Parts: sequence; C-alpha cells; structure tokens
Amino acid sequence: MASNTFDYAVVGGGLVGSCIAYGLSKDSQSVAIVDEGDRAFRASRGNFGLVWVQGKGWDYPAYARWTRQAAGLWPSFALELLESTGVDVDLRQTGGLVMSLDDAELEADHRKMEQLSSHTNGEFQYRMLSNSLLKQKIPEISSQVAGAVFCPHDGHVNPLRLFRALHQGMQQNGAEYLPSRHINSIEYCHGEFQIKGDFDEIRASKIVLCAGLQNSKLGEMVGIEIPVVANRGQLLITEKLKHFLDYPTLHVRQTTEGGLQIGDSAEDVGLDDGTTNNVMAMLAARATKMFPVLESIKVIRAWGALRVMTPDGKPVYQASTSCPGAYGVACHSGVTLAAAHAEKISQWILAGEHGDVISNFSSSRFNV
Amino acid sequence: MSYQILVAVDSMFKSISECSELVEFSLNGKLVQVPKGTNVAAAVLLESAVCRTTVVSNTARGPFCMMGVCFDCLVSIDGLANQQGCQTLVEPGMEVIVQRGAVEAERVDDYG
Amino acid sequence: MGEKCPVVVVGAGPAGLTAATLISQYDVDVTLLDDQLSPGGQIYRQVSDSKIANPETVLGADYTGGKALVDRFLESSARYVPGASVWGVNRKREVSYLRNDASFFLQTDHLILSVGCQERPMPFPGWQLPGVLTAGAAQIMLKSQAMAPEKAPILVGSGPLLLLLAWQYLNLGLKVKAIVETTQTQHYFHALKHLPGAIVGRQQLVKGLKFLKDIRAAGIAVYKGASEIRALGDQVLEGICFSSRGKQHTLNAELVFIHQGVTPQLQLPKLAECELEYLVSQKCWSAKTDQFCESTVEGVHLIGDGQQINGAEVAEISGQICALNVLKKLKRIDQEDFDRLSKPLLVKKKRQLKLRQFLDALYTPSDIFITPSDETMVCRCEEVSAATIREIARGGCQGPNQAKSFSRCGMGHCQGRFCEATVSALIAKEQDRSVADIGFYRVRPPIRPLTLGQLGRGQSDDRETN
Ligand SMILES: Cc1cc2nc3c(=O)[nH]c(=O)nc-3n(C[C@H](O)[C@H](O)[C@H](O)COP(=O)(O)OP(=O)(O)OC[C@H]3O[C@@H](n4cnc5c(N)ncnc54)[C@H](O)[C@@H]3O)c2cc1C
Ligand SMILES: Cc1cc2nc3c(=O)[nH]c(=O)nc-3n(C[C@H](O)[C@H](O)[C@H](O)COP(=O)(O)OP(=O)(O)OC[C@H]3O[C@@H](n4cnc5c(N)ncnc54)[C@H](O)[C@@H]3O)c2cc1C
Ligand code: FES
Repeated sequence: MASNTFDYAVVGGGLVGSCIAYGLSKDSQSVAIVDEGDRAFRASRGNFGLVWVQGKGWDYPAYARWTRQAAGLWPSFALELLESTGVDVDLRQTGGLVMSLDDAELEADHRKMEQLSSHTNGEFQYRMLSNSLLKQKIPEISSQVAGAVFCPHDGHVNPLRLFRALHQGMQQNGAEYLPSRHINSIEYCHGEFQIKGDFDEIRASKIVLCAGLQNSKLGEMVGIEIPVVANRGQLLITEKLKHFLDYPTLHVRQTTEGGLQIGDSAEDVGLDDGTTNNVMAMLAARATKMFPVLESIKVIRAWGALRVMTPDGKPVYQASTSCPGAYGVACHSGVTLAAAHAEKISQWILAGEHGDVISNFSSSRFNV
Repeated sequence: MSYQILVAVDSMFKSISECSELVEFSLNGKLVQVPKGTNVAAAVLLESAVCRTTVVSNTARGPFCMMGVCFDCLVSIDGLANQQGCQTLVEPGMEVIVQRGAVEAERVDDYG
Repeated sequence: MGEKCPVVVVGAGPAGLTAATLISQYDVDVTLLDDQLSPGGQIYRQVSDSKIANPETVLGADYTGGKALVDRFLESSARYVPGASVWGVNRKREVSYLRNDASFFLQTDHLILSVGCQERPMPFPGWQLPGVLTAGAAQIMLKSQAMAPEKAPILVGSGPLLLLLAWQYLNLGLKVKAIVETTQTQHYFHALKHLPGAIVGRQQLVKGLKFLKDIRAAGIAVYKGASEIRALGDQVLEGICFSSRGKQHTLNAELVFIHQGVTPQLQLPKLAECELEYLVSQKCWSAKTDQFCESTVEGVHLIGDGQQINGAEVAEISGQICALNVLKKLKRIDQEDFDRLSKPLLVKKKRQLKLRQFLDALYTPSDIFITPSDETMVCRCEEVSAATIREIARGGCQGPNQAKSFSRCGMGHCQGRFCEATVSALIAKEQDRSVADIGFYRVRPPIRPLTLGQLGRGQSDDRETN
C-alpha cells in the first residue's frame, strides 16, 4: 500500500475527528487524520468542558437517550485514556447546576425537566433547588439567585487534556496525523476517495467528514447533506483560585488548574471568533451577580469560539448513499458525546450498519 | 515551602535615593520604611529576592522584569492577591504579603 | 462604544511623546495614555524627577537629554493620562484601559500605538529562580527607584543594554562581579560587513567602545563566548555555571542580570488585527507598516520599538513622520507641506537604520537561548518545559496556538510574552520548518488582567477624573 493510501481518512482533527480516528485505529485499520494547521476555526480549543445531560433533548427523546448513554460511557473512557496515554482528563461527574436569576426562568427550566423525565420514563433525574438548598451545595452563591436545577448525571472534564489525550492515543494506535492540509476537493472514483488540496493527494477507501464548520461544503462533494452554521460563544477565564466550587454550573465552572471558566454567549455573527467589550462585560456582571465573592477576581483572558450548529442543535450522523463509504458527523456537544463517538460511532462506521441511534440523527430529518 | 524560608533570604538591593521623605508600610507583618515613590516589587527587593510561591509547583519566584510584562512580582496587597508589585506604588499603611500558591475566592487574609 | 477622541496615542516613550507633541501643535485634540506615572517611556523613565544624585554622570547624558522631549510634551496641549493601562484595542480603534481601579473605553479615528519593547526571553535552566532578573529590570530599579544591587551582580548575555548597565554601576562605584558574554564569535564577523553603513551612527558606536574600555579598566572579569549556562540554587539563586572557551566555570552569585536584546510588544497591534512579518535579521516578529507608519489596518499607526526594534532615535523620527501623516489625514497640512516636511525625515531614518543592521548582526540572539535544552522551563507561568514542547511538536502539533491547548504554554498571566518566541522556535526546529511559517500566539483581551467587577462595570468617559 502506498504511503498516501489508507483504509479510512478522517477529515478534521478536532474533538469529533480525533474521537472517531481513535476508535477506528483501535480496530487496527489504517487511518489518516487530515487536518488544517495552527490557525483554524476549531471549536475543540475553545469550549466549556461540560459533560452535560440536563436539558439535552427535552423536545427530542432520542437525543435525551443518546446524551444519557454518552455520559454513562464516559467513566470507562476516561480510564482507558489514562491507561493508554497517561493523560488524566479529570472527569468529574458530580452532578451539575443551572441557576436562574428569576422565578420565571426557573419555572421554565422546571417544565423542561418534567418533560425530559417523562420522555425517559423517569430515567432522567433532577431536583429543583431553592436558593437555600442551593446554598448548601455552593455557600458562595448570591441570594439574588432564584434557584437552580440540579442534575446528578452532569459533570465536566478538562477539554484540553481530552484533546491532547486523543491526539496522542490515536497516534499510539497507529493512526497517521496529517496536519497543515486544507482540503479543497474530494472525488469519489472507482470505490476510492481522492482527497485533494495544496498537498500530495491522499486516497482512502472510506472517508469520515468531521470538519466542523466546513462539513457542509465537503459533504456536498460526497453526496451528504450536513447543514451547519457558526454560532459564537464568548468566554472568560480567571486567575487560578483555591478549589471552592464543587459542582460545574452552566455559567461558571472551576477548571482542573483552579481558574474559573465563565460562559458563555450565543451569537449569530458568522465566521467571526473575536470578542466584544459588551459581551465580556455582560459575562463578568452575570458571574459576579451569581457569585459576589468573585468581584475582585481577575480575568486573565477572554475568547470567542464558534459552535458547529445544526438547524435543530442535535447531532448529524449520516452515511452517503451516492458515494458508499462516506460518512458525515457534526455536533455541537463534542465533549459530552466524546466517549460515544469513540465507541459507538466508530463501530457504526466500521460495521456500516444502520442502528437505531443513527437513523434518529440522519440529516433527512431536516427535509420533512 | 514555609513562610520562614520566604523571608529568610537576604536583602538584594539598596536605596541610593536622594529622596528623604519616607513611607511606612507592612511587609509580611513587619513595618518597613521606603522612600516615597518606591513601588511594591522594589520594596520587596530591599528585603528579599522572593515575593511569592507559584500556583503550579509551589516554588519561589521574585520580580523579574520590573516593567509589567512578566507577572512574576505578584503579591497580596491589602488583602487582594495577585497584584503586580512593580506596577503599584507603596502607600502609607499598605499591607503587603508574599503569596503562597493559588488565590482564595474570598480575601486572602494571612500567611498562616 | 465609549468617548470619541480625534487622536489617541498609547505610550509615552520617545515615539509617542514626539507624535503627540507635534500633532497637538496643530490645534488637534490629542489624548495620550501611558501606564507609567510620569512620561519618558523605557529610555527616559522618570527623567523629569530622578531621585539619583548627579543623574547625568551616573546614567549618562543620553538619559538626561530626554528631559527636553518630556518637557516639550508636558507644555503642549496634549491631554496626558498617566497611570492608564491599556488592556484592549480592536480594528475599530476602540481602546479599553484601566485607571484608578476602573475600566474605561475610548474610540478614535487615529490610533497611534507606541508601546515600546520588552526584553527578549532568555531561557536557560534556572532562569526562573528568584535573584535572576533582566538587565532591563536592574536598570529600571536604578532609573525610577534609585536602587542599586546590594550584592555584586553577574551580568549574562549580550547587547548594548548589558554594557550600559555595567557602565552605569561603575559610575556609582559599585562592583560588578563578572560579565558573562554570550555573543558568539561568528557574529562579530557577520557584523563587520555592516560596519561601513553603521559609520553614520558612529557616535553610538564610539559610546559603546567607551563603555567597553571603562569596563576593562575597572578590572571586571569578562568571560567570552559563554554557553551551557545554568542558574544554580534550590529555592533561590546561589550561583551560575557556564562554559567559556572550552573551560567550565562556576561562580557564586545572589544576583544575576540577563539580557539578549529586546523585541517589540505586539499584543496591541495583534489585537487590532494588524499584519505582522517575521524579521530574520532580528529573529522576531514586527508589525507591517507603510513608510508613513500606518499599519495594514486603516487608522492604526505603529511607531517606535513597539513596531520594530530600531532604537530611541528612530522612534522619535517615526513619531514625527506619523504625526505628519495624521495631520495630513486631518487636513491640518496639505500634501505639499507633507512632502516637504516628511522627506528629510525619511532620509534621516534610512541612515539610522544602517547602524541597526550592524547591531542586529552583532547581537543576534544566540541559538542556545532560541532552542534551549529539554529541562529548561519555557513557559514561566504554567511551568512548561522545552521537553514537553518538543514532544508535542513530534506529535504533529503545527504551531504555538495548538501547543497552548496541548500543554498550557502561554496560558498564564503573562499571556505568552515570555514563551512565544521559544515555543515557536522549538516547534520550527523539531519539524525543520521556519519560524515565519510556524507563526505566533493569537492574543486575546485583556492583555493586562482586570477584575470581574471592573470588567462588568465598564465605563465610557473619565474626563472628570483628570
Ligand atoms: C463556546 C463553546 C462552548 C462549548 N461548550 C461545550 C461544552 O461545554 N460541552 C460540550 O459537549 N460541547 C461544547 N462545545 C461544543 C464542542 O466544542 C464541539 O462540539 C466540538 O469541539 C466540535 O468538534 P469538531 O471536531 O466537530 O469541530 P472543530 O473543533 O471545529 O474541528 C474541526 C476540524 O476540522 C478541520 N477542518 C475544517 N475544514 C477542513 C478542511 N477543508 N480540510 C482539512 N481540515 C479541515 C479544522 O481545522 C478543525 O481542526 C462548545 C463549543 C463552543 C464554541
Ligand atoms: C527595560 C528597558 C530599558 C531600556 N533602556 C534603554 C536605554 O537605557 N537606552 C536606550 O537607548 N534604549 C533603551 N531601551 C530600548 C528603548 O526602549 C527604546 O529604544 C526606546 O525607549 C523606545 O521608545 P518607544 O517610544 O518606542 O517606547 P518606550 O520608550 O518603551 O515607551 C513605551 C511606553 O508605553 C507604555 N506602555 C506599554 N504598554 C502599555 C499599555 N498596554 N498601556 C499603557 N501604556 C503602555 C510603557 O510603559 C512606556 O512608557 C530599553 C528597553 C527596555 C525594555
Ligand atoms: S516584575 Fe515583571 S511584571 Fe512586575
């Protein structure tokens, strides 16, 4: 086999591509990961690190079940990464909190949780916390917070360590990382995919598109519809603090190193991953309103990152019918779903079978 | 690392200032006088090379660039941690404390 | 967002002071923000209220000469905002700064960034130990704090600032224990070919030679061509060892001052999305400008050592050129005046740059500091070693931004100011690519930390606080 010919080419070395390449290469397939260079839109470098179940799929039971399953696969996956790469991704599934600053917001959250619970026959668990119950979990919380939803399935990881562990792991498994290769075109020819750009052509029998925001464009080349748009989130990170926050919350979480990650906005601004003064100020004001003790804590850095958003916010797993052997994967919860992607989605690709999970996330759902 | 080691180090610099007006402040609980216009990092260097221990490995650090770009001179000033000593003038009555490791979400109160 | 100002200058060194003074003479409202408490920048720090006896004899006439520039500025109508630490700018020329514990915003059509340089990182094992300071820091201690070393220091590295510092200590009658020169022999030869061009700047060369002569006369031990430098000590500096001319040396020391030149502070130009270019001759990035000092972003002007390292004289000349360009845009002078006034300045600048070529060749940073040994701490904030960077580079990591995600290098308080060059160079070496190809850290605000409270309360106008 020529050095530029592979069984599988995974396009995109973000979290989604690395998880799938990790899974495929474990099965001793020859796998190449084709990625761009140092400067690229890469949601995987700028996310919030939550392994988050609450709220996911309150209006779409299949997504609720898939997310629950993914979170359940996480502990053994984290252990596997530790054993194979020596990287501790610091998974902490302590349960998580979504706080509301007013009663109406809290009540709306409550209704969603009820619906989620009934969708899953009570499998999805949650508790509504008043301000005083919340204070028992987080004493630093302000009395201005109306209350919170606590969900025991929630947690967080160190997303950057996860990213590094996957890159190391997939290469240990024998996968070949081919960076600084921006793909311009993919051609399907006699059962083989020819991947082209400003580099020596790469060939593969199967191709998995995990190119984040460029998946729509690349998908068209192999007959897969992957509708994605950019949605910007801005975040803040503070100086490192002694550990004080035992639970991740949707707006503030304490990282492995001690810094607080404060998020995040949702803005429809196209391909602009910059920051703006008013959003940074809003994030800071909200965080200090929830946690008055943070008033004098310093912000070290802010950033913007682009979410890979599908029209309904749920993942897309799609095989091509016109170019057999081509698959497309897109999602905006690549951390939460990491273990499921590494195991279930790579198995689906390896087996080429159409399980239940997959049919629920076909992009044909957008065409009804 | 104990607080003792942090302050047991010798004086590194001496003042050659013409300025006769002195400002008194407290450094690790000890009252110290320095010429008016002295910044906190420089004031620390009159006493010791060390101003804190790091969050990552809890090892000692001292002022390095004196121009606000290295962030090695972080100290606790009047209860607020991680202040850039080289960018802050000593004020009468100021309380400066060498920092150990990470900051607390509340006020950093002592060296204990 | 924020108060609208006709012209905003950031940085009160020779470049910014010159530009602000000249523009204000044409009855234009200029606002100059600077983080120090008095004007002068790095070279003329505290020149108007020095606390040293006989500053001219001790620090040199070059230093005290800066007082005239500072006085002209203070007498001008420019609005001077000292103690203003700029933490953000963007391509719309919005400027965010912190002053008196509050954050403010300004907006302008003409933003002049003249924030100067910082010391080039000089990583070697132990450079993070307390007691190791930059030579610039030692000089700042002298200029603005009137403080001198209590223990005889060892000066390590290369470059004019190192010699200047030694000379200034001699003037004070202070002991310098040794000078450990890392200038490599071949650099002397490379530099020679630029010498004829440099003759125009001969005054400065003559000064350099005088420093050397005085240092020799004082009997200070000078070790040449030093390498394998290592700072010794458990918790604090106890000594250094190095090899020089094939011999190993170990010296006790409680203070070591290090230096190997300076590099532009590019955080603000990067935030404003100005294009950069890699200068092979200076082994660092600089910001692109046209000959009239305008960057690739309209209305953002870059002058002085914060654009490219050319020294204080060029900083002043560029300040004048830039001022004329802004005055032309504001229609305070016409094209004819502009041409007439700018032409001699451009000629003068070109001549000065010849000297720079000589200095760049002579004091080009030594490879041992560009790609340090595995055990060396590359990122001082997050304590990341050269070995880690090499390891991730071997795993295919393409540049500093991905390296940041993989190792945390550049994620600490200093935002990569002291590791960027090393991280990029290590990846370049490991992958046999050029640093220009590897790239640089993307910078994000705030470039200087502020509290959540300050950020959340953001204000727009601080005229009343002046
Ligand atoms: C602000 C923010 C907060 C988030 N918080 C969370 C969270 O808390 N929990 C959670 O589960 N998820 C979160 N996410 C979502 C999560 O980060 C993403 O789902 C995940 O990173 C997507 O990974 P990806 O690999 O699909 O995309 P990306 O990381 O964007 O990677 C795409 C890759 O494809 C490469 N590529 C693109 N085009 C080409 C081409 N033509 N040729 C070659 N290579 C190409 C790119 O260079 C890149 O490496 C968040 C996202 C954002 C932006
Ligand atoms: C420590 C040090 C000492 C030096 N000493 C000498 C010397 O003795 N002789 C010599 O010839 N050259 C010296 N140099 C080189 C010298 O800096 C330049 O040649 C000259 O000062 C450059 O002038 P400038 O106007 O470009 O910048 P500078 O003089 O550096 O002025 C820039 C100003 O901007 C301010 N500033 C920077 N960032 C911000 C911000 N974010 N917000 C607000 N203000 C900001 C700085 O505090 C400074 O006042 C030194 C350099 C350094 C780093
Ligand atoms: S000593 Fe470098 S920032 Fe203060």
